[in-house]
Amino acid sequence: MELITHLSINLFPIAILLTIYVNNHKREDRTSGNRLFNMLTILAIALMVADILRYGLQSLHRVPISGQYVFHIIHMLLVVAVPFVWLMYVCRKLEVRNPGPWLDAARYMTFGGAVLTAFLILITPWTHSIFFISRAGYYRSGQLEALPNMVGILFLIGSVAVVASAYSHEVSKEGRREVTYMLGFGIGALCGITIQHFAKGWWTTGPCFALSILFIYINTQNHQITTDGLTGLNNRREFDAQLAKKIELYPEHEWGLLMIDVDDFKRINDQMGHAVGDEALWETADILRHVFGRDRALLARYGGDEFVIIGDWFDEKEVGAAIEKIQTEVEKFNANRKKSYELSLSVGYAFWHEAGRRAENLIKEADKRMYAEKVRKKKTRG
Amino acid sequence: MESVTYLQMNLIPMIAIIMMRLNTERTLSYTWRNRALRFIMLLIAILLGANSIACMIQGRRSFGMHSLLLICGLTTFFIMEFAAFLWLLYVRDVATNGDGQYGKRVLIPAIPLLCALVLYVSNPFTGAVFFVDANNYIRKGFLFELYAAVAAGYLLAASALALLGSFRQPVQEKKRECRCLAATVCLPAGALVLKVFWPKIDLFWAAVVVALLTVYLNIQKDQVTQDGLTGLNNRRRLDEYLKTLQERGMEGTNCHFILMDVDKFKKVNDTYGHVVGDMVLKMVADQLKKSFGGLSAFLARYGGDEFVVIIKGKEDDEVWARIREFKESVACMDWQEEQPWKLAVSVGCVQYGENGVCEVEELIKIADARMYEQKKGIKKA
Repeated sequence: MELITHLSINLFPIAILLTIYVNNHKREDRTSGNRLFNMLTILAIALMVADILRYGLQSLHRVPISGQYVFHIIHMLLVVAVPFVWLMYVCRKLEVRNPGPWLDAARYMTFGGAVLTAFLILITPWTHSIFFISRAGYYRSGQLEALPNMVGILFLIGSVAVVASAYSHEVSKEGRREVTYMLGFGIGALCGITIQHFAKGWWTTGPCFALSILFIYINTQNHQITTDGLTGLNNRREFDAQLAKKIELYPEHEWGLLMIDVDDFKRINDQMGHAVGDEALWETADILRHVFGRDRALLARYGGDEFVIIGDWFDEKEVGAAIEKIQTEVEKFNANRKKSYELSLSVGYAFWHEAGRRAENLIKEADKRMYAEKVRKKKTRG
Repeated sequence: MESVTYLQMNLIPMIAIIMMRLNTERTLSYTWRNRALRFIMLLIAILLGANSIACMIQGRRSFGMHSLLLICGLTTFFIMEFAAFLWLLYVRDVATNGDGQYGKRVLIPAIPLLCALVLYVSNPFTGAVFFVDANNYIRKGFLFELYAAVAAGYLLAASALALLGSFRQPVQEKKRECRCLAATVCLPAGALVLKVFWPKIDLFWAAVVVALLTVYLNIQKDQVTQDGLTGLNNRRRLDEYLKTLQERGMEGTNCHFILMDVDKFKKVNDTYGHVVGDMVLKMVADQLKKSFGGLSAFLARYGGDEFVVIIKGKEDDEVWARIREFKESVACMDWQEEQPWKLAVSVGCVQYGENGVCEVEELIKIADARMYEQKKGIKKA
């Protein structure tokens, strides 16, 4: 009976995780973060398989007691290991975004805790501290039975805390969104392990892990689809989609669009190499993020060296102020950073109401103004 | 089995599918096909919800439980048929590259669905499909098998359509997509087979959700590897493909690498704006699909206005004939009303193993150099 219960509950999460693993494995993305994620998936699968096996063996009655010990121990080790790997994954992800020494400290401390718990679990057959198998072949709990679950809960709480503290460091909306997703994962897994610990008949640890992993996986995929790899801004596809959505849902709203082009980008690229060109693009994106990141504006990389921003600007005065802000930031950048190239941006603008409420006109109009600005700059420079 | 277990078996897939549904808002574009898929997800989520309620209240004999069970049962049965029907439409749309404009043609496959609807509406009075007994348990009626047959019929028809589509589609990626859709039905079918041998384990709904998940993840993966504007493979996918080509080795196969570049593209962009530039790229990409799709070639957008075509196992003459045909069709495109100049592409083609070069990167370099030579020649002329 127990076996059937565990089979029917766990087979679905296992299938989900296998699908994710196969999908992710085919990709050529071999970063350490992704490797940790793959490991997390496999460990969660192993956790549920071990869960099925330990009850399966118990119902067979013919398996020697040592065999039962093995599977119970494996299951308990995994209950600790999965949250541990998750914590490592979170630390790795956050370290890439904003490195800090406290992340390392957190990592070493949890490592110590995990090793200690694993040791206690491994010596259980002799000490009977966490659980033991009775003569008749049944599982009986020991004094410290709650230990693996509690350590797992502790790790998950730790990961939630780490993520929550990183939230305030995030500047852009996209970054904050991603941190929120990681928070969601931690909380989902935490709920699962807590419910299983306190409620009888609810075997939620494995399924909740699976759901959380699915959640994170789908969202990282989404992130790859919607952002530009180099600059981290929204990419062209996302911009088109958002624009179409905005037009369809709120055709009456009034807003403006800025089109920004890096001057002489082709020259920078050809003379100083693609690496410097990429850096220039990256710095430009950073400036734009700095100026508009916290507003309700939509930033995107439109093409090679072009960026677009949609924001709540109604007239020339407001747009002028926004352009002014960009140009002062660019001047500051040129004065402070002392790069081998001088960054300069041409900005064109257009308004939704002025463009006759057609997306093509809007882009055309902004394009035209940007081009005019470029020509004017060239003339003044001689 | 305890009702808690049943509840968990329904709740977990339900959460998974609601999560997917919410996620589609951000990634799936607003086409008829994607809306259908979204609607299917929503339907299945409702169905699992109704199922969970039914699990909880089965066997309880307080007031109102009887009618609540009836409602849950009816929702489950009807949504099942309707979701299967929508699935058929969805698959047909993918397999035939449709645009969702079907109008009245939808009515013919909908006939079984309408019959089933009549049956379900009359079910509370006749008890034909199912009925709720005195102890408040759902029992099968004498027409219960009919319900399963209608749903299974829709699913199998969808699979057959997808399989047919996989032979007809010209582009390699589309073929794969159709094959995946055809195989999707295996999962629920497998769950049913398992149930026959092991009646205590009911994984049908879980299998349906996993099948939907595979479909959704495939769409997502396509988006990661596809160029948004032209629908060809993007740079990321091209790099992966070249890597696997290099790893597998291509000894003995005729493999052609073709690099193309639209002439004067920057001028198009600067004089007529990005809108026209994008349109030109789209037109060229569509022509690429038409000309080289039949050779089961790998098509990708390399950068701004550069395209890569990789053709395996075809002779030199055939490849060059296609290239010539492609160039002619591009020259005939009317991309602007007054046509200030004719569109043209420069092409650099290199064969694997030519001059003893076997490194993929070297091959691309050679193709690039040849393309530039051609471009120079055009400029001089």
